[in-house]
Amino acid sequence: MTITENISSSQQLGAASAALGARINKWVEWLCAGLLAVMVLDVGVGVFGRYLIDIPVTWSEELARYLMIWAALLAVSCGVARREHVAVTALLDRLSKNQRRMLCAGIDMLGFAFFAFLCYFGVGMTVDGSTQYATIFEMTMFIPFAAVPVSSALVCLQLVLTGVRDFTIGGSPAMLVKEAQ
Amino acid sequence: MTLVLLSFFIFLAIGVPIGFVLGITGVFGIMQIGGTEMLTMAPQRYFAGLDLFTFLAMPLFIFAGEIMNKAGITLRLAEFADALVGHMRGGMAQSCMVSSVLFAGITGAAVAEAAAFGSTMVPAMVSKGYKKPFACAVVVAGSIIGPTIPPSNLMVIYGSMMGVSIAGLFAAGILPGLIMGLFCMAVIAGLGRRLNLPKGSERPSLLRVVLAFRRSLSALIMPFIILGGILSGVVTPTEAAAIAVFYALALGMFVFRQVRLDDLVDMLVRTARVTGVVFLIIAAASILSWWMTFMQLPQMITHLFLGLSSDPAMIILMILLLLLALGMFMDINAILIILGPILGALATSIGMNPVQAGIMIVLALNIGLMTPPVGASLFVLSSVSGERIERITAAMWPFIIAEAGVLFMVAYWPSLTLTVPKFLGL
Repeated sequence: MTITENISSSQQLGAASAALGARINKWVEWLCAGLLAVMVLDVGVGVFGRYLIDIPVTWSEELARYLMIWAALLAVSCGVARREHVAVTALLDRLSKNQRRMLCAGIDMLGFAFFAFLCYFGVGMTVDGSTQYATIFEMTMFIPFAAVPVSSALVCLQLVLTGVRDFTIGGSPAMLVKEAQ
Repeated sequence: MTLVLLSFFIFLAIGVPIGFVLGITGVFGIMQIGGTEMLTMAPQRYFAGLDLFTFLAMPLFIFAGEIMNKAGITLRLAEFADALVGHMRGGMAQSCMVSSVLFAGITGAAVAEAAAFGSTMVPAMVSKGYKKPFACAVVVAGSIIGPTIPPSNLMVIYGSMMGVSIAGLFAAGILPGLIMGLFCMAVIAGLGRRLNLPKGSERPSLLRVVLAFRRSLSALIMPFIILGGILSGVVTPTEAAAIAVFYALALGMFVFRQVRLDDLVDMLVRTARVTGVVFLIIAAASILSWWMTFMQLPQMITHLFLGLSSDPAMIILMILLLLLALGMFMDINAILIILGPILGALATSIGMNPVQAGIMIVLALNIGLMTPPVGASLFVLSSVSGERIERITAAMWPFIIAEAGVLFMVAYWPSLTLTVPKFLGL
């Protein structure tokens, strides 16, 4: 009796993390799309300003870089949620479903350790950054640098949710084939 | 050092995503050098690795490609290609190859092209009686022309890292890309009778060619806008990429009316996802490459190569074989970021022009996209078409040999790459 209870409760946990992970991922993807849209417009303003109305827009280049970094680093967590990060799957493909589940859990934990590390030391870098100044807007480097700890924390969260999802529901730790479109 | 290298290969082999592997082993390396005090280097490198204006060109070109695809440009280019070469034996395969070349002037990434063509061209060819593995092989072979003919994301990365003119690299890639297309067409023609490829459509009237040309004209102009702007030095690659996005948007929304506002969100999300995957590798690799520089690994590798031979031709051959071998197993962006600077510097130290060296490295890595067991284009085609990788690979060999032939021409014949940049005064 306890066994069946355990199975169903672990599956419930899996379903819950799958749902939560998917919801968070949706929000992050929209946020990334928004950041990229602003980035495209910003570079457009730079080109327009320089070539068509001959007013050089000095801030567009720097702003675009920071928008790109924020969008790209946040999108790393989307790649985790969808298991899109490129890996050599030759070994994973040859394992039984259960072995694969175990190995994937191990890989997720390794990834967690790395991003937890990046987050921890990234906070230090970001705090230090509040005394460095970017060349535009008299802004400190606090906001650009914050992309590293914030996105790393998000990756950790997604690694936990995705890991629990694939470990419990078993589903298919979808093969990490490079996703194209 | 052994610990770092050993953990690198073990993690890679057991299936840890390459971006994680690069970061984790980079942190190991930093810990080994300076203990815990230097650990803040890791987030700093992770950030600084992405902090380059030229890198903006990558997401912008990916986005422009998404829009062009949605706008139906792929189909229009395919129609034009079909009018040109569709009447030959194996005509659909030939026109697929010509479309790849035309599409290459719009896209900068092979996987994007592989996905776009795989979902449309493969079913079309199969319905006309082509064997599926062969149809897939044609698309894979064509897809790596995409990042050889500019724009090219790999050239953007290489140029930014090595301080080589991206405009020069773009110009230098044109001729090798066209020759790759011609070689592949020759392969198709050569195999035509042996594989009994279906005969093509009837020879089209001149009128049909002209009409097809007109229908695809607005798409065919795009490469000239991108390249013309960059090569004439008027705009930077990043700015040209932004112009490409706005041009594609204008075409898609107002001329062809295939792209709606709510499609844009989906396309932006896909662009962000692809960018996230590539940029994680770039950011994490810059942690590891910092360790490599500190340990003077580049000098050691260079010494190793120069110790094996003093003949430039031999050294170039070793560089090529190393890149082709690594390209079979590793993600090419990772190889480019970690080894590109080392091998590029080695090649220039034995007298190779930096632009030629760049094209050689990029081209060797592009071939890695289609060689088994790990080839991104191969994976994409396999997942889009449902055909097994082994069967596609079996049909691929003639194309791999043809394209590797172009690689060797690039490596040993400088004028092939340098004529166009010289002509344009770059």
